[in-house]
Parts: sequence; structure tokens; C-alpha cells
Amino acid sequence: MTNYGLKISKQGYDVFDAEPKDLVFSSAYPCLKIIQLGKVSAVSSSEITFDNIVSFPLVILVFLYNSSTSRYEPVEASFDSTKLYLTGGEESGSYYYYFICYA
Amino acid sequence: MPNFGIKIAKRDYNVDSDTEKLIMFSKHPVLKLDKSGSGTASYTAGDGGFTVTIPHNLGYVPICFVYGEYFDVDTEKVIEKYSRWNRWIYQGLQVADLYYYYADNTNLYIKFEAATGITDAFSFNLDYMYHIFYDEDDL
Repeated sequence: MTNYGLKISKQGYDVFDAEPKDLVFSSAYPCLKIIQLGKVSAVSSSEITFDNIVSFPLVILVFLYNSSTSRYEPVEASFDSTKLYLTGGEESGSYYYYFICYA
Repeated sequence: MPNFGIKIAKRDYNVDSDTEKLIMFSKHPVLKLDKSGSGTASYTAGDGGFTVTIPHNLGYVPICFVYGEYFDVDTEKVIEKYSRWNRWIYQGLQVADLYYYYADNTNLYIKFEAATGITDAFSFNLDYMYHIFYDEDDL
């Protein structure tokens, strides 16, 4: 089979012999892609229904903007095959930013 | 040095837009997947914990993500939802159970440590899922 595709190496590396870690992109390796993202109030609990049919394994990242500290912090959240569950209970003006990703 | 590379903009944006409006920009590496998978780990009462070892043999520490179920001490049941496998469950002021993961140059380790006299008394199964990327975590 012909060897074809798209590779981009990091600066200082030859695309023809760079290891995967030294590539910016390679069509030979799935990259992490965001399938859904959003922002919801963190004052009360929320259930985010996945827009698309998603198959495990997923990567889900959730950050809290805490209005009392004006800082962003990673937070734990739980999910199953259909929804992301956010606990809430934060100060008024606080938000969750969530990123549902797959590779 | 010439300004060159590949940019792909999101719909309705110009490729000269700010980076957050781009789908891809060859100046910024994307995470490239080495392997992913899922499984079930069994804990037997009295064992103290378990370790799931997943080989990657990359020769360096890669970026990994692990998510999984956890055992709820109060209800004495497995919570059938996934969350980051990076959890300290408290019983009062004391840490009861530890869920964590780490990688070295050859393996990803998914660890569970049960609190003696509490969770340690139960047997259960925990589903987990993981991603290992080619990109280095230990730069």
C-alpha cells in the first residue's frame, strides 16, 4: 500500500524521520478533537446532554470560573454515555466551561 | 525567517483571526493519540488496592487521561458514572480512598488504594477508560 498522508514537524525536526512526539500533526495519528463545548452557570447543578452519539473513551475537561476569586480552576465532573453532570453550588456569577473531546 | 505553515479557520472566521478561532494552526502541536482503551478492574475485599498497568514503551512520560467509576462509601455501591481518576474520597476528615494514575517511560499505572476498615471490606468492579498521547508530559 502506498504511504501517504499529511505530516508537519516541529521546528528543528525533519518531517521524514521525526518521532511522533516531535510532529505538530500527522494524519497517521488521531488528534484530540472537541465534539462539544459550552458555558453554564455554576450556581446550581446542570446536566449537559451530549449533542451527538459519542463513544467511549472520551476526554472531558471542565473548568470553573469562580466569581469570588476571579480565577479559573479545573474541577471534577462525572459523565455517562449520554450526559455530563455538573454539581453547582458556587457563588453567583460563577460558570463552568466544559469541553467534550475524543481522539 | 519566512512566515509559513498551515491554518484552518472555523466557519465564518478568516484564517488571520485570533488563534482561538482556528481549527488547526501548524505553529501549535495537536495531541496525537498513541492508544486508548477501556476495561474493568476488580477489587477484592482485603486486598488493600489494585494497579492496572498499561504498557506504552515510548521511552518518555506521555500525556495521559484516565476516567473511571468509583465506590461510594456512604451507599456502599459503585457509582456508575465516570470522572477523572484523580480522586480522594474522605470519610470525615480522613482520606478514605485514593484513585490516581501516573506514567513512566514504559507504562501507564492506574491505581486504587482502599481505606482500611472501610472500603477495604467490600469487593467490587470499577470500569475505566484511558488515553495515551504521543506528546510528552515531562518536558
